[in-house]
Amino acid sequence: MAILTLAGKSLWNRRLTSALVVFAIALSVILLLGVERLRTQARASFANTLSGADLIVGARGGPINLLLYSVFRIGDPTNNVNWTSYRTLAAHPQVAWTVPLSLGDSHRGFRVLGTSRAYFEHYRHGRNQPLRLAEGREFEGVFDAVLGAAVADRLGYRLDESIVIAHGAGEVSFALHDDKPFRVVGILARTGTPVDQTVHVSLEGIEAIHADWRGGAPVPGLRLSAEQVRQLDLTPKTITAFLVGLKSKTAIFRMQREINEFAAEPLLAILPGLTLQQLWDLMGLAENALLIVSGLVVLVGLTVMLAALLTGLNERRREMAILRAVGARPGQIFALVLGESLALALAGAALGVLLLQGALLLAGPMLQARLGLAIAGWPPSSHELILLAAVLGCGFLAGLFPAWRAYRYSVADGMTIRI
Amino acid sequence: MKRLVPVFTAFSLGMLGGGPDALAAEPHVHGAGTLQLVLEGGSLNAELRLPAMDVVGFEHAPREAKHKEAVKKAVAMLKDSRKVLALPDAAQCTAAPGTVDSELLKDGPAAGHDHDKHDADHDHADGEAHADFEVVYRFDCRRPEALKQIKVLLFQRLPRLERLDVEMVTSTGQRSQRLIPGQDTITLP
Repeated sequence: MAILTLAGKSLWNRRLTSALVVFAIALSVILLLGVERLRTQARASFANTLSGADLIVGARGGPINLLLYSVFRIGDPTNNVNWTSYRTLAAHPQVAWTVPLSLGDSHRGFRVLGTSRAYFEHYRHGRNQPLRLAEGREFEGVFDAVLGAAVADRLGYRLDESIVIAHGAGEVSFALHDDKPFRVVGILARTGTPVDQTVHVSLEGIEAIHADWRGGAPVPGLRLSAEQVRQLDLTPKTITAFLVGLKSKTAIFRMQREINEFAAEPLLAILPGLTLQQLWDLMGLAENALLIVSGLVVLVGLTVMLAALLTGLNERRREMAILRAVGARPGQIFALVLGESLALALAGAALGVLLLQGALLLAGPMLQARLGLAIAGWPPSSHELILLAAVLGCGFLAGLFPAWRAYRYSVADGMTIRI
Repeated sequence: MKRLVPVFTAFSLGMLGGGPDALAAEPHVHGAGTLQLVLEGGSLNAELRLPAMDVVGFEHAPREAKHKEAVKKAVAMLKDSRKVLALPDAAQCTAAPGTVDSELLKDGPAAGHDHDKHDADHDHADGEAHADFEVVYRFDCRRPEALKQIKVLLFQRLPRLERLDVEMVTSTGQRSQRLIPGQDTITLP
């Protein structure tokens, strides 16, 4: 017991160095756990975005590209799908439901999605959870809009507010559809997916705002009022992609082949789960590189501790010799130094975990709002606990060397007078 | 897109509902097979596609007696699902006989390696230097929840096969897995 008090007092005596060592280890632990946390949560977040849809169909291109633009609103499609092709496939005897998706416009940086009411009925996220309206109702009229939770939050929109949709996907756009404003009729409950970042309108609405546009700009002299547009045939000519639910999963691969060989138009059908896995396989390399780098940073942190302990021992020759002189056994000296390194590593790891939680608490809402990425803080996953254990293990190993030195040389070192 | 349409039509192999013949547009890589599994309720459907090169060692129509014999033996082996897939006993599955299809089984010189007369209306208009074996298995399982792992026995029987890409769909998700000799067990999601 006495030796513990002594160890504590000795550490307190060197509190500045010790604090720096603890801080260095804490920083490296933050990096290690942060990378791990971001990696797993990003995966979970992606995996939770879409469930229930058997196939996604879009223009022929890369499968990962199709998944990214249709579900995650990342990137842009190479081409559109003809409305007639969509109708043909939607009427296929194996198909239970379809949800058309039409992208390309935006509202103050948020993507606008044109879709049908099937979206509210069939879109599922997480573990097969349907979309829920927090306020209002689904869209019915041509100029009705339903907002994702983050859109309403960030822009402070309420029901019945009127919003103007911009042409294209930029945050600042000079091509506004300001002659045909939309009215907010519903706000969705938060999902933690890109749905939160989306303004939903009907396909007819998308068609209507482009009715007097040709080639990406308003036709000069041709201005149709919202009322006039309503009278037009607002059946869309193309959509960006569509989700497919099948009556029986048994047909899924056959259906995928049929769509990929669709004669009228080059289409691509993907199984979202499989394509997401392809994406992770691709990302795995980058993730591993990150993990290796953060592992190396932990090694640097522990080396700092080793250096501090070794220099410390130099200064503490007297201390060790006195301890030996008053009866401490060499084993106790060994335990003292080893215990000290372990305590430093433990304190560093604990501080790192705490700081990371604090950082996540502060940055969490921002990540959620900007990237739609929900990062849960507590509790650490089993994999993170393993990483922490590895840090402590390395701290223990790093402590062995100074402990052995102290054990071996404490008497001779302290008693030999060197001036 | 308009530019792509004619190119695509040239490659397209039949309209919607085109049968297994249309599969010829799929990629064909020697040494690499694919297996697609769908588990729904108690029924497990498996579709296996193997390059004929890996099964019998040639991809032309079998004219000589020894080639015909090799094809016959391969078909008999592939038909027997127990020689291809080992399902856990606990799942209590019964297998319907597998159906085997291949260009090599068709009569006449259709699947030959010589691009003789170009027949535009024929399903096999393009790229017919290659041939596959396609096998469909169907199992009915009384305890599908016990179907956690499936062992694939093909690598011992077909030494030319280097990998098998497995895609599976169950009620809990979609997953893919690559099997190679030595790692020949599928884990279902």
